[in-house]
Amino acid sequence: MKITVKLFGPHKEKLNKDSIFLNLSDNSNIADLICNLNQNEPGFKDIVKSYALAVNLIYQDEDFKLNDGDEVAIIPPVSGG
Amino acid sequence: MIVITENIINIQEYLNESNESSSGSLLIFCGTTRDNNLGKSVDYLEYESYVDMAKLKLKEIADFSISKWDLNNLKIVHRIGKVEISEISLLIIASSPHRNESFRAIEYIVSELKKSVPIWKKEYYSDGESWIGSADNPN
Repeated sequence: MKITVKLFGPHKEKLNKDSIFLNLSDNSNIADLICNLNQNEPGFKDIVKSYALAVNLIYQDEDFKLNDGDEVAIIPPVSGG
Repeated sequence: MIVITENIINIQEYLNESNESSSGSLLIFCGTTRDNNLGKSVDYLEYESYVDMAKLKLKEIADFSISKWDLNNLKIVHRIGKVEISEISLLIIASSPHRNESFRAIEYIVSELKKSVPIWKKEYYSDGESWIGSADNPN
């Protein structure tokens, strides 16, 4: 299934991209996605250490099951206001 | 009303449509950009947002606040993009029958916004720049 990963703020800047497109096996959850990125995306493991996760605009835990076409956002510590 | 904008926030524009005849309190909170942080002089800031999710989270916070504190009117406006020192980055206008409700609502909204709304700010100094919210540069 195809998943779009969105990056923001310091993660986007240090990895020099705002999106990553992945093809994951069916029944993958967010933990599988993070594992994939840690293994295959250069620099990801060292740069993306502190974060929350959202799927289709809603915060989710790492055991959340993904579906084809989902947009997963990796949210750095927020600092609005 | 929830607004995320790259434009300078003009309080009067939002104030004109905020008061209700049934309100005895109209409270305005402005978050403004400071020229210093953690001992460093700040030249300007830049805000970035995951806009669709930020609007959704702000609406959740607003809906809860309107219900809990019986607000007659609530506006939350957040600036993104480059923001010069002393400009308004966050505007909240709340009206309610009595003052306590709008005071409590605004305190709650600011606190929740800083915990969960996907907006990030970056400070620019004469000798560099830094994202705020990371472990070495807390919010």
